[in-house]
Amino acid sequence: MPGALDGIRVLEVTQIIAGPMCGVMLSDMGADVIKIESAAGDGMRLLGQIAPSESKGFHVFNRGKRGMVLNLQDADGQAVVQRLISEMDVFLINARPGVPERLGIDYESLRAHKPDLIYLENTAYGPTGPSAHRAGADIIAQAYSGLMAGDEKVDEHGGPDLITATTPADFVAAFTSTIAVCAALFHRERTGEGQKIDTSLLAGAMVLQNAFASRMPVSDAVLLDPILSGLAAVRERGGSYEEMLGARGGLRALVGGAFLLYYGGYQTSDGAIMLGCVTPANRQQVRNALGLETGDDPTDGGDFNPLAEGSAEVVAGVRALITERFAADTTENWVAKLDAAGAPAAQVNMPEEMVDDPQVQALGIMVDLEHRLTGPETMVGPPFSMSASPLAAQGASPPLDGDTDDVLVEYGYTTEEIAALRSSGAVGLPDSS
Amino acid sequence: MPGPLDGIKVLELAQIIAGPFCGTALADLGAEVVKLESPEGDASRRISQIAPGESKAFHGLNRGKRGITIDLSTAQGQSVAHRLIPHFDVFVTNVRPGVAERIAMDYDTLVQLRSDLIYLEVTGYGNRGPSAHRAGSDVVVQAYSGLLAGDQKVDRNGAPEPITASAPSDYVAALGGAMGVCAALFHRQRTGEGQRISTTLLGAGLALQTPWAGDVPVSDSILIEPLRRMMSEMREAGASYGELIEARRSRPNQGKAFRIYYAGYPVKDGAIILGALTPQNREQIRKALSIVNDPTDDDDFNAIGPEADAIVARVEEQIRSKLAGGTMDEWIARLDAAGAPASPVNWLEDMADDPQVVAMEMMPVIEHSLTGPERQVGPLVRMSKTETGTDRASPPLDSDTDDVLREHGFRDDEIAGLRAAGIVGSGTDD
Repeated sequence: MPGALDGIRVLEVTQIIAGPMCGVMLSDMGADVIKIESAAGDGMRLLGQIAPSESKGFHVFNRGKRGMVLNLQDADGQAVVQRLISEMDVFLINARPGVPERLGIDYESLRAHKPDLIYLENTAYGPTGPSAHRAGADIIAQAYSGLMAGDEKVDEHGGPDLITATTPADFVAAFTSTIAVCAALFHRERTGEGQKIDTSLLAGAMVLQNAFASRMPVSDAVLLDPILSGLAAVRERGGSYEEMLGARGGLRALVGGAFLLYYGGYQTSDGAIMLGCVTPANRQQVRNALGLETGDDPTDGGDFNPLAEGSAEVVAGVRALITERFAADTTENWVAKLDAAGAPAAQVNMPEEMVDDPQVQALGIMVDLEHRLTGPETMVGPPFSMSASPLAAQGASPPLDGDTDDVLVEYGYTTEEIAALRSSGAVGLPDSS
Repeated sequence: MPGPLDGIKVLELAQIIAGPFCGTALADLGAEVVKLESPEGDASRRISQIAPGESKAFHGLNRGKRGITIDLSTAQGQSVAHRLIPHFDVFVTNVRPGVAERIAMDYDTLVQLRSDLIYLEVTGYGNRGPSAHRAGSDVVVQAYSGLLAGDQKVDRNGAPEPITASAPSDYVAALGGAMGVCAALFHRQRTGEGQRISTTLLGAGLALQTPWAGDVPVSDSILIEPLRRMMSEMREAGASYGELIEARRSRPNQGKAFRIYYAGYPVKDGAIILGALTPQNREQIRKALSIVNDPTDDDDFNAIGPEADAIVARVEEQIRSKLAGGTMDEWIARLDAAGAPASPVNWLEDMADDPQVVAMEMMPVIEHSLTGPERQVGPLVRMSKTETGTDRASPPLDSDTDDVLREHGFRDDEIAGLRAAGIVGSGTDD
């Protein structure tokens, strides 16, 4: 059964994560994705190299694609893109604003060759505004968007301790880009019209804070404005980042402290456990499993006011009680008890061990691939499944310059033309001619 | 200019984040989304309530929808929902596996009523496997998927400290679901065929760890296998969670040198972030900060060699003491001028007024009928020919039940009967 995007052709000029991951998901859905690189290759090839220009990071963010090397600084290289584009449906780019224009591969230039082209441009800050031209990366968007300060982690030097388990802004930008491409394909199918799509890391990081970032005067007057004035006071007297976090966190803890009693981690006798309660029913299930009486925790009662004097001490007292209970037994026993009670809880697994997890295996989340240069590999596969147009990893990542000639032949170039482009340096690696 | 999903009708039976945010994403793309709630309403209505049944979180996660209330625990309520289904293109749910069957809202039942239905289910662990029926929520799946341990944060008590600035598995599952729906609409347009789509918080948590969660033996034998061995030996010796994380953090690894220029540092009036990805970026930062004698980008530097930790610490200290002497504005101006990726660490509470956010119109104002004007994080993407975004706020509980039923062929006396019997409506108005 072919994927939902069977027959759709995608050309990408992207690197690192946000752009390449969008290409991977389009490929998972059955699109034919061709990646264009410079002779130096996607910067990701060099992060944690395992063979020349091959890295685990590059492999996972470029599976299922064919790869070609073009010199886009060269007019002949640009002409190749313009010739290929007439047979493509989608073009992806994640360069800084202004770069596509300089290389002659901006929306206006390419749609001249393909009027119904779907052109996706992902940037750090968006195409306009005072920061549009600034350099960006995932943690820059984390910092700029408030996500990092909102995570409230400080390192031993008093600086922000960033989210390192993933690159959230990159991934969300990749997902929103892919959603937009699919929606644009649907629109083109209904109307015949292509279009330009803009996504950014900043928007991705803001989307992740959707539940907290909004301003709502009727709520903010009570819950947010005191936090803001506390923050302003610390700033006024020249306080440190850690003090600012303290001012913000202290007030936030009052508002959300009771919720976090049952939405957070505890140590057990042999490791750690995580609770994830979002409803009063969940919290009651946990109290039952822990053997807590109704009177042990007044924070879930309708009349508990988190902002009242003494509330913080009440919450701390309940936390101490829960901490003590969890410390008395093993993770496995607690997870079994909480599962039986129906409460959301899990052991804390290590990412390197997930490949062998029975649930991950049952769902078939990981896929086995064979790379042309470095052999077999297992990686996280498509992020969801579809019954009528299934997703599937289409293959491993391309070696640098791995498919240049094949792609050019397929799109009508003669062997003589290719040889000429190679010897002039417009396509391929410098020493390949 | 209508959105790309203009005319598409979505029925959403979902609560908290993963399901509702998928509905919001579809609404932003122009779909007409009807949110179906129980008489108690989505539980996120009561997280930091600001008015009865209204909260900031609910508003943000449910903008652009109409709201109807049906008691699906009754056969009559189920038949009301079944009468609506033929009019809808897409059904979105995040109830636990087994619940949809119990309330007759499962795929096999609904596809009888609308043969080309696109049915999306969002679950914690998936619809099969040993954990399928376990309760899941974002932090639980952060823990299960390895995301939490991979973030390596431990609180004062040695307990794991989750990512709290967002609910990453929830949001990414929601986005994966929206992607699946859009792709399925395209497929239906080409073939006439509907289908069932499954997305999970677990899959989302793993997708977020794509670079780390896989096995590439040729790379892992050097970089990951020693770590796996170390962790299993420590566990056998009875190490605590905090000790495991500390060992994981301090092990020799190639990322340490990278993280000197991909990290946060305190400055006089707050903190800034350096985000260098390439050797050129690092050189730009060295120039802007006058950092000298840094061999970490030299060809002969061995990132996992015996000297590496001391060298990395020395360079890091040089950067740290340099940055401590200036303010955010001073450093950002210099780093921007050098072309290096850097940012002040901003506060979320200030972002609605941030000049870049304002210039990109990322937080438009919408008006809620009960609680007034609010500024929210707007649409996921901007599209040149199909406008995205909404000016409709989240629905008050039960606000559109009568209108939606009437539009889909229910007579006024039928609606009144259903209300009187407590089958539709929130039960507070009769």
